[in-house]
Amino acid sequence: MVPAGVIAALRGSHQLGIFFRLDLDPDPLRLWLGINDIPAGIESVDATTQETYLGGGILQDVPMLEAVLNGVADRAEFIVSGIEPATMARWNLDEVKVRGKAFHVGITTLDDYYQPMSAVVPMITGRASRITEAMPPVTGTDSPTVTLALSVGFGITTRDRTSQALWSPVHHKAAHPGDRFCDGTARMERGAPVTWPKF
Amino acid sequence: MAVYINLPTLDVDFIKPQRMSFDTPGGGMEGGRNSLGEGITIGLSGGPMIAGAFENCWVQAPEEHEYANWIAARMNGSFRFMVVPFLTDWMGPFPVLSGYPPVPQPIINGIPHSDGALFADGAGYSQATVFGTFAQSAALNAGQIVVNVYGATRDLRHSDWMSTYHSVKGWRAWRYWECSDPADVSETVDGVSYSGKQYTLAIDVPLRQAVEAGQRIELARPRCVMKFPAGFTMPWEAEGFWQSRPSMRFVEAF
Repeated sequence: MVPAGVIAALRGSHQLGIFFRLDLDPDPLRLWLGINDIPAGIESVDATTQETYLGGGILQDVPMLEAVLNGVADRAEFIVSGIEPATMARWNLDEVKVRGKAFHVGITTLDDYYQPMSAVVPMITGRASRITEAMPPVTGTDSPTVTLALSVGFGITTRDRTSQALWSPVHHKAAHPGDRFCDGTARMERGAPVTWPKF
Repeated sequence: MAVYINLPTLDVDFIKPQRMSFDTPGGGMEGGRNSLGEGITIGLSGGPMIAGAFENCWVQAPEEHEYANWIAARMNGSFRFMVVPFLTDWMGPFPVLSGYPPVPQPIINGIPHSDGALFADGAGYSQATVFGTFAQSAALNAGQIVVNVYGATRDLRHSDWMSTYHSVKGWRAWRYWECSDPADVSETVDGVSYSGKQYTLAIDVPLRQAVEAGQRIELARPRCVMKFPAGFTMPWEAEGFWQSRPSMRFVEAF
């Protein structure tokens, strides 16, 4: 439910704050599309409305976000660039941690004094499936920045991306040379009776 | 983690810029039309950041060339920072003291020791004529602050630049766009009792770090941690008779 004051502000020229929250364990990743860090919060998931959302820079790809807000895309990549590398280093983001975590995108407007006019209103909720973190090599006069892309699924018809690799006997032998423990798995999958090897 | 404190300050008197500019650009975008067909704008950056420039600086003496090279060597690449002072001498609420030309004086130089002696090289202590403190603590990203200002020769009214030294974020500057009527205030700062005016100010650059009541505010040559904008470099150039007029641009360091 968007508060009336926020709706009134949205009707005219306003300052919009777009907030991202990824429910990592133990500390959620909180980003928003502004320059400065800001105290804010989503009431239903944040403990208070004074959590620090890190300034993530300007959204690189606005149309992508619109597509999700309108419910057109059931899978989206959120791309945020311009994050200072040191900020990103505070989260050890790997796929295992990210996968399946709740992801919220919320908005609220800011008043003349840059303060959120309400708690952050969550517009969409999704499940994160993978994160792509890129810091292109910089030369000469460029500043190093991190581009963070998050693949998120929405709704019940979502396509999903697997993160599992097929663990073949070859892999097992690479780690344990000479061990034939997994040799029978391919036949077992086909339903063929497997003779348990004698060692 | 980028470090914003314990940085050298640009000696703006030494580089003698012919032109300066300071700006607070923010990120806004066209937000479509409202039901009357009027365009609205959406600010997406949550407050601006500071950008500045010193142009056509005077460089000719060997020491000036040394200094210009130091700036370029330190700042080229846009990842090292320095503290850049804003030349607000002319517009700030500073007293016009004796001397010619009678210009406002933000800083008094040449203050001797208690026995009247100066340092061995003839220099004395220096002190700002106007300064302020935070009257109330303020949170991160605060857009409204309550300040006490001491030594000002006029009331704060339209806009003035100020800065404060944050323990983590270093020097950060702002200016105000809305100012309450002054109220008398007295405060003891570092053992000295001051009488001044208290104001509630709305500031254009929100605070980069929370502040405590009593934290000092600098009005004389306010300063900000800056870096070169990405893609900008300052070449070392010289013309006949070793004249050089380098220009440098800055953006707020993050």
